[in-house]
Amino acid sequence: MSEAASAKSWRSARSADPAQHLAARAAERDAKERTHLLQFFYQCPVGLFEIDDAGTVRMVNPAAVQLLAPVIGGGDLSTLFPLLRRLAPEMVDVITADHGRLGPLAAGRRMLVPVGASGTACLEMQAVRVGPDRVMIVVQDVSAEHRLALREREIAVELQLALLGKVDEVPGLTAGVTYRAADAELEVGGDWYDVIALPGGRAGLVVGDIVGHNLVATSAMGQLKGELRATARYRPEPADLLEVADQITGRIEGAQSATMAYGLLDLSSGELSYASAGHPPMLLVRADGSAEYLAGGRGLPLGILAGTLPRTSAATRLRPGDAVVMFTDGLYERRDEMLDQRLTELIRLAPALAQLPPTEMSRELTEAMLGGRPAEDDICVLVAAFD
Amino acid sequence: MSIGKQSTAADEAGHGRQFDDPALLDALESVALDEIDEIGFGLVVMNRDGLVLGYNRRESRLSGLPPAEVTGRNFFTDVGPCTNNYLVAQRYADSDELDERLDYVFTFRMAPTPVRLRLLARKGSDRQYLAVQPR
Repeated sequence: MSEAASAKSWRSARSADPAQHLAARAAERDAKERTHLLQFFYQCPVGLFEIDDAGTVRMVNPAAVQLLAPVIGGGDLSTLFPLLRRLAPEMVDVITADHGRLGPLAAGRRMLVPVGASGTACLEMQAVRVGPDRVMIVVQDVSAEHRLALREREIAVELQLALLGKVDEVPGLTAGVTYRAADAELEVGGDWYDVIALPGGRAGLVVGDIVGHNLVATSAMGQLKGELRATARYRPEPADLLEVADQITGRIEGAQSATMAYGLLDLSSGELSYASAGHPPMLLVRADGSAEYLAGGRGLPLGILAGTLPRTSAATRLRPGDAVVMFTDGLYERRDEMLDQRLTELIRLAPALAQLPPTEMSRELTEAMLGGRPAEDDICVLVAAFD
Repeated sequence: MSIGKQSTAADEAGHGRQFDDPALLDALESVALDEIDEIGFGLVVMNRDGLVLGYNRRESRLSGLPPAEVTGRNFFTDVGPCTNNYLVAQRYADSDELDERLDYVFTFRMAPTPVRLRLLARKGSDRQYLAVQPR
């Protein structure tokens, strides 16, 4: 009913039948409410779609169109799946997978969409099943959060590099490292490496990985690395040092369950004793082109069952020209491939690169293992060549 | 001169014109606000800040919003927020003189409605126009 019509009926009702008058009042109130409801949806700053299980759009509010217009183009938006397949294909699978589950169907997906000729906005899209054959799609502009996350990542990378710093120079040993931050938004954190010059012509070699990816992990890494440097001077033996590390991690927020590999190299004899706290094995690359993983001295990650099981170590002997390659799991872990295959790939690649100086070798090994794909996790590679 | 079923004085003022008329902007510049209900497509007349001066019957029927609720409010932020982006609102802000057509989706009564928009503004004028045609 138009406003003019309702006003007219209201006037005529007042002068005639009281029941008619009340009905007219109610109709007018309904019309006002409906207008307010429409306003509410028109001005809701969050984009909303209601779709059925086939992706047909039943309802949509202006904010959704405002946000997605750049990617809708001249389309008609009668169905959402073609758009989703382009922007976030996995969302279609999530929506169609389980029709019985109510509530949020997965964590929000972030995507970049163009804004004008040069800019981009970051949108977050989430699917929430509200009933059988009814799914709400919530779209928000999270550009500000995205920028903050990128800034936090930059800070974490800067802090990480500052805390990693330079390693000690040790006569008889040439060390080179590559540290590569994960490419994803928030996946930067606690990998570290160290070479510690120790009394008696020895060197401590460390590569470790703090669980988690954020500034807490980075600062935990900094503390743990610092304390281990100090401790190694008076307790350099691998089993000893890891037992101390077990205690230290209990005091540092975010350091629990860190993993680390540690080697103690005697530069006069080439004797290498080593141990691992839940960390990937070191790779020994011989001057003759052979290679082997050093699988001994293994134990649980730091701080787990601290003090209940004694740490053990193993030993081997390096010959001049041999190199030890230590790394974090970012070097070989990849979601879509078997770990065994990746470790086999690593041991196949490493000897061919062993003629390079350690820094170059660590870099080339990292690039070869990534094979041009983005780094899913931080990668840290330490190559220590026994001269 | 006019492109309409019947030629009347009002047609000469512009409201008998059709959406794709090349001279639409000229015609709209001379149309009075109390004549816009006669126009055969949705029309929003705004001042250059985007405040709604006129909201014709066709547009009101499509959106479900009575003209009285809309007049005096900012079209891009308040009335049709789906246009508040670089594709529509920004075009008016960036251009003194504007006559562009684009396919868009409106959310009349919460239903996605494919429309063709024509964005019109004349340099030096204190009005600007959004013409809306379902496609």
